[in-house]
Formats: sequence, structure tokens, C-alpha cells
Amino acid sequence: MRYLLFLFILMPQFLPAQTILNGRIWDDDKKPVFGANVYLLQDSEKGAITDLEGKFSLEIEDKDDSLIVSYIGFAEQRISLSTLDFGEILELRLKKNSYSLETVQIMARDPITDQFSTVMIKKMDIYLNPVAQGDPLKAITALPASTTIDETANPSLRGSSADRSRVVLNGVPIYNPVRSSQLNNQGFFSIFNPEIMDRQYIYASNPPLTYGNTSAGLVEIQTLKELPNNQIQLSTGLSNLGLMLSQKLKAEDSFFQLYGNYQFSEAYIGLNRANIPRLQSFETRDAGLHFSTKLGEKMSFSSMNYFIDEGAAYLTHMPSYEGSSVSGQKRGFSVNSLSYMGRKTVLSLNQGIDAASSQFSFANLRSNRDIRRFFLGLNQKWILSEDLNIQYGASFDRQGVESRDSIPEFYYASAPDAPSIFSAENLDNSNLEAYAFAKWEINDQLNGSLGLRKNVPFEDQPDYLSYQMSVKYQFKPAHHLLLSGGKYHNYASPSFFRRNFDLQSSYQLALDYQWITENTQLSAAVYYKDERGNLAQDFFFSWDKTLSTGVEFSLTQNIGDYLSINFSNTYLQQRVIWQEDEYEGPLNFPFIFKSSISYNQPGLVSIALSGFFRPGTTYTGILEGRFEPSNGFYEPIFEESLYGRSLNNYSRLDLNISRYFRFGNKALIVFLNVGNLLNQQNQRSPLYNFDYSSFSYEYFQLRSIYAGLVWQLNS
Amino acid sequence: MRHLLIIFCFLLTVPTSSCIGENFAAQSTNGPAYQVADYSEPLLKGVQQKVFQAFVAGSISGDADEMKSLDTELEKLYEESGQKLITYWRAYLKFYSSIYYLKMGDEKQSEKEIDMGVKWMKNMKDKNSEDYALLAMLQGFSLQFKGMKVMFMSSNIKDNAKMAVELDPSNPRANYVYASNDFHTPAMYGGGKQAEEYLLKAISLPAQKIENEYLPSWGREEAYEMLIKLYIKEEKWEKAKEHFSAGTEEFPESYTINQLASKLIGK
Repeated sequence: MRYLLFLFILMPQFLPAQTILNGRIWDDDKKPVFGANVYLLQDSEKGAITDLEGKFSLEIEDKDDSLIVSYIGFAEQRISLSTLDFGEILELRLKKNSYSLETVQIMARDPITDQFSTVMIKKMDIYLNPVAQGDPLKAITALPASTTIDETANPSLRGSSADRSRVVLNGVPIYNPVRSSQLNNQGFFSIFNPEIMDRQYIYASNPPLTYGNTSAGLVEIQTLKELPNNQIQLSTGLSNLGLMLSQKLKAEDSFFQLYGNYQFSEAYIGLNRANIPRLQSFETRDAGLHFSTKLGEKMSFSSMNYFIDEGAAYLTHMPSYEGSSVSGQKRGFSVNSLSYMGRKTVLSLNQGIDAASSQFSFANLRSNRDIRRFFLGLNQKWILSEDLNIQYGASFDRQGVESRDSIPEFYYASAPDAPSIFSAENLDNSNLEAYAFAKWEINDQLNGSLGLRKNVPFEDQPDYLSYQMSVKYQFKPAHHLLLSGGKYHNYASPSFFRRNFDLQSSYQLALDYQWITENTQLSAAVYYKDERGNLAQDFFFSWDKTLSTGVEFSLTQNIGDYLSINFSNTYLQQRVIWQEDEYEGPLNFPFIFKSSISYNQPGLVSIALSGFFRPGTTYTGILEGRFEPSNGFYEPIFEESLYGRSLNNYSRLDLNISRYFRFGNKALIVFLNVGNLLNQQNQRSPLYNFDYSSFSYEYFQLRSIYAGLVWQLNS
Repeated sequence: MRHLLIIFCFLLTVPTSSCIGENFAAQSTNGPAYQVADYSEPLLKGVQQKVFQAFVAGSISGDADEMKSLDTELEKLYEESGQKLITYWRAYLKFYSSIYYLKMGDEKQSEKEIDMGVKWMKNMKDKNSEDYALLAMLQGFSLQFKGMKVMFMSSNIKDNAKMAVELDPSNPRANYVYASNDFHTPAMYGGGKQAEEYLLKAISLPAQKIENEYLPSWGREEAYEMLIKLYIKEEKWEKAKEHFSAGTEEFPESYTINQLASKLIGK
């Protein structure tokens, strides 16, 4: 018994000594980590879980063991207990797991500037947009930021001319992205097929400086990276026959999309002859090939190639002579992108070539123009952390225009027998720029970005620096405020009335507000722009500065599952300055009202009614014609009041109806579009008689009907 | 049409799972267990089970009081601590609230509940694999209410599920949600090719690497159920039976797995 007592007294000395380890676990942001596992390597039955303050307490028997701390999303930490001071509280900071390759790929898909875009549009948005008519760029015209007033698809954003904005496809600028764009304001549709498109970002003002050569806004289009399914699509309509083949290839994530269209005018003009008196004929053939593949685990390549051969004949009036004009263009471009995904970086090389040959003839005007463009851009994006990303790079953009024109000797003397002079001109411009852009998520509510873009001037080019800053503030869930400002530069494209690549610039400040919930989208904006440079407007007018102030409002409300209503309004005031004198500008609208109501129920019907209403545009009137005996023509004498006259109010209502039928793996879509349903006579411009003693008006599109069907075969 | 199909399929996956309510001790497929400090937050201890119990209580009594009460407590705790894990559990609770209201025939409230959960998870910063998996699951469930908007949402669901798997390939919930999205996407739209692979992976993984009653452990039972359904659909009867046996052995009380027995009899 005595021995037993003796043993009992001695026993604690033989038992392992127990020590308590107290600690606290933090994350990268110095916040306590709740629920982290804290346990021993050798004795994994013993462990603890951190509490709400990140604290834990653990009994330790063997100080030769190691402590392991783990939590989802953080790198596991292992600490040898022998290195710890058990009298102190262990303070441990967990580090977030580094991103894996595919995570980077997912994060890299979105542009670094995406949070600073005004709107992001996906393919389905285009199909369901009642204004878009299946065209990616026409979808933009439904936005309040679109101040396109001439019914073209070429985006004019927040009062700036379309030539100042840029459309970028897979990182490569596509200049003049519309069909049949000539003097007659054709260009009703863009050259982009929505089927190749993944998403489209719209920067209504303050274009991101990851791209150059724009001083207004930017539209960034990205092509598909994954093909959802193989498909053959046949389409036909009053003026169109089309085929599209989308096919996955054996190699993983590889596919191609091949399409072609033939457009003809006989049926469409035959049906609508009374309402499109000026259009005589048109014929277009186009084809596109989009190819995308992965080159190993880290590289991907995509190529978009497009060719169009188009021609049209229409009645043209300029400036006091009316007659047939004929235009034609052959154009092809290729955009190729190579991307390399590293652990935390994305390198991309974007290359584009674009060649066009166009002809235009009217009265004594003959124009033959060859345009060649080459673009190369190299970009590197670094994902430094989930909060901080930077991107930098350089671009080289070269354009050459070769013109061989017979132009009227006197600008006002247009007639087949009027005198003309021959002009041959070769213009070219090279634009080399480097940029850096940083995006910082300061906290849950606040994001900021900073961009700089500097040119490297060639020969006598001016030296310039573009800069911008944006702050995005989420003051409540779903409520966003975006404040952006900066200075931007672009080279204007040469045209009939601009014979140079003139450098233009702008100062911009914009405040955008958005409130987006599942069923309601509300946006508002106020902006100011100061645009400078040689701002040639047309044959007659040019000025040095345009000052634009705008206010926008838009509301989209979904009611139930199928009904959606949208209306928006834009106030735009524009002043122009010419030789230090200030005048009213061409775009002064107390309102540009747009609205639509659409009902989309798959299997039943999709029907949409969209309206557009604004005051008429202003123009400078012609007082009289002064006869010039030397050539026998009248020269217009303009009124002193610049833009002192107004065309009638513009209003237009469009109706779109479609029905979707499914038969197994096949689908048929039947559609009908009635443009300008109420047949409003919206004045486009005055048409003067030969001596300017009287005038009538040319009108925008009157009521027109178009119908067609699309047959889809999926496999 | 594709999107309608996705909706219906997600509806079918509403997990009336038994394992969600089971204790960790009953799950043989977890990683090593260890002692949990007594001082840890009592409300969050076994929170996944508490959510399910509140849902069951609501379904029996016909009112959502218990779920509302649990949400109020979680909200209060979140306001005190700011721990994003609490947001995860609140969103998870919203998932069950949404199912509850749907079963009660109140579609409008059901949509509100799931939308709230989606919004919380969307707004959560520094999402980890578990967060993305839950977000994708909630988004998938919400599709049934979205009419034409489904067309805009389905690609986001895939992205979120993909992100969940990529951030932690050994997370069974991430693998299950990814498979579920693929399973419910019709073949003509590229779906149905990866479901089996990801479901097999989901059931091969422990519910948790280390037992932790504060963290999610759902997913394995749902993966078994979907895998058996997949084999039944493809008429691979032997595989269906094999996984039915394994599933019922691990989750003997599972209603969703057991109810598939009738489809396997005589095959």
C-alpha cells in the first residue's frame, strides 16, 4: 500500500507535461479568421477551431510536434512547436492561396477596365433588344448615351461624332464598322455578326486608356471563347440568304464559325417601293470565319476574318443637284489574338490588318479610294492580388489612304457636265503609343483606377499624353456611382471634307449612377466634354472646339417573367467655337426620348414596340443662290445665324414580332419587322432646287416591312 | 428551351437530403476528427444541421418562424462580428427558406428569399471555393423564377461553379455543383459530358478534410443521388445499382436516394 501511495505521488512526474497554447489567427486584411482548423500533426485527434475573434486554445503534450492551421481559401501553415514561446499568445497570419492557372484565365477574361464601363451587353441581350434587330452596334442605339440621330449603326456616344469613338474587336480597332457607309448616310447595319460575339463593353465616355485613338467613347467586342454547341443555321428574308456553320473541332476547346450572306434588293424594294423612293438597288456578299483554339495549357489563339463585297445605287441630292449615285466597296479584315496565361499574368498579342477598296460616283464626282490599315498591340496584365491589378502595353496603328478623285472644281457645282479636277493623294499616319493602367479595389465599396497613355511621335507629329482617373463607389448594395475624368486623343480619319489625319483631343468629366436589381435597372448620368482640334463637319462648316453638356436618365422594369418596359431621356446642349466666336452646335436637344415595351415568352411569341422621339436637328439655312457666270452655277449664300433653322420633330415607332418553334434538335424562328410603323415623315435635310429659290425635304426611312425566317439545326 | 430545361432540372435537385441533418459523427467519409474548443460560438456549432432542422420544423408546422428566428440570430451575430462565414450560412438558410415557400405555394416569396441569398453571396468579397459553390447552387435554383432572364444567367452559373472547382478541386460541393450544372444542360448545348466525371469525384472526396461543425459538409448525398439518376437516364443499370448500394450504405436514411429504388427494381 505504501508503495502504491509512493507511486501515486510520483506519477505526475512521469506523465507528459501538458501546456496550453493560446493563439489568434488573422487573414491578409488583419481580420480574425473564424472556423479555422488548428491541430497537431502527430496527434491529429487533438485540435481546436478558432472562435469569432480568431482565438483558439489547445492543450499540448508533446512540444516536438508541429501545429497545423488551415482554412478554406488560405494556404495551410505548419509551425514547429519547439520554436514557440508558450507564455505568449501566438499571433498567426494566414495567406490567401495563390491563384491557379484556370482561375487566372477566368479572371483574365474580363478586361481590367470592365468595372468602369457603362454597360455590358451579351449576345442574348442583342437578340432580345427590340431596337437592335440582331445587330451588336445597333443594340447600342437603344441606350441613352447613344446620340446617334441618323439611323446608322455607327455609334455616336454622348454628343461626339462617330469618328471620335472607337470600336475594338478582340483588342484591334475596326474603323468604319458599318456597311455601305458613304456620303448618303447609309450604314444602317454594322459588319458584326452577333453569333460570333461573347460580350460587348460600352464606355459611353472616358474611354479606357488600355486602348488609344479615341477621344469620345469606346465599344469593346470580345468574340466567343467557348462554342456551346455545333449548329447549322440557315436564314432567309426579303433581301437575304445566309448560312452559318458552327463546329467544334477534335482538339479541346477548339472550334470554328463560318458564315456567309447574300443580300439582294429586288423583293425588299418591290414590297416597299413607295416608301423608299431614293433607294434604287443594293447587292452585298459577305463571309466570315472565326476560329478559336488552345495551344497547350497556357496559350490560346483566336482569329476573326471577314470579307465583304457591297454595292448600291440610290438617288442623291448634293448640294442643289439630284441624280443617281453608285457606290461599291470590297473590304477584308483579319484580327488575330494570341494569349498566354501565367500564374498571375496574362500576355496578349493582338494583330489586325484591314484593306478596303471603294468607289463612289455622283454627278461630276468620282472617287476611288484604297485604304490599308495595320495594327499591332502587346499587353501584359498582372493580377497582383484580388484587389490590385495592373496592365501595361504598347500599340502601333498605321493607316494609309490612297485617293484618286475627280472632285467638283467649285464645291457648289454638282452636275454630270460640271467642271471637275483630278486629285490624287496618298495620306498615311502611324501612331505608336505606350500605356499603363492600374485598378485598385480599395475596399468593399470603393474602386479606383488610373490610366496614362503616351505617344511616341513620328517626324512632325505632336507630342501628347492622355490621362484618366475613375472612382467607383458602391454606397449601398446594387447602387453604384462612377466618377471619371481625363484627357484623350485621337486622329480623325480623312474624308471628302478632311484631307488629313488631324489630331483631336478632348477633356471629359462624367458622373454615372446605376441601380440594378433583378427586375429594375435605373441609370442616370451627367457629363461635360470639351472637344478640340480641326472639327470638320461637312463640306461647308468646320470649327475648333465643341462644348457638350448632357444629362441622361433610363429605367428598365421587368414585370412578371415576360414583360419588360424601358424608357430613357437625354438632355444634350452643344456649343461650338470657331475663331473664338461661340455658336449653337448641331446637337441641341432638350430631350431625346426612347422607349420600348417587349413581351418575350418562348414558345408563344416575342413582340416588341420601340419608340424614338426628339426635336428636329438644326441646320444653317441658305438665303439665296448667287449666280456665278464663269461656271453657270449658283453658289449658296448661307444665313448668318449658324444652325438657326430646325427640321421637324423626329418620331419613329418600330414593331418586331418573332415566334420560335422547336422540333427536336431543330428550331425555326419566324420574324416580322415593321420600321416606322406610323409612317412619320421625319425630315433628314433640305433639298434645294438648282438656284436655291425653293426647297423640299429628304426624309429618313418611311414605313418599311421586312420578314424572314431562321432555321437552326443543332447537333 | 435550354434554359427552361435547366430550370426544371434544378427544381428536381432541391435536396430534401437526410444527411444534411445528420451529425458529423454519423458521416464516415469525413477527415480526421478532433476536439473542439468549448468556447466556440454556440449558435454556429452544427449550423448546417440547425438550418435543416429549422426547415423541417417549418415544413411540419406550416410556418417559417424557426427559420426567421435563426436568421435573426445569425444577422445579429454578423453585425457583432462581421464574419463572412455567417453570411454563407444566412445565404444557405435562404436557400431552404426559398424551398419552404415554394413548397407552400408562395412563389413570390420563394423568389425573394433565393434572390436575397444570391445577392449576399454575389456581394461577398474574397470568395473561396465553398462560397462560389454555394453561389452557383443558389443561382441554379433561382433560375426557375427568371423567365427570359435565364438566358443571361446560365453562363454566370457555370463560371461560378468552375471557379469553385478550380479554387479547391478536392471540395465535394464544388464538384457536385459543377456536375449539376452540366447534368442539367441539354446535350445539344454542350451539357451532359462532364457530369459523371465530377460526380464520381465528388463521392470520392471526404465531406470535409477535417471535421468542423462550423463549416459546410453537404454535397456527397446529393452527388450520389444525381449519379444514380444519371446512370438510370443512360440505362447503365449495373452502375446505377452499384452506386445505389454505396449511397444507401453511407446515407441509409436518405429519402432522395431511397426513392430511386423503385426505378432499379427488375433492372
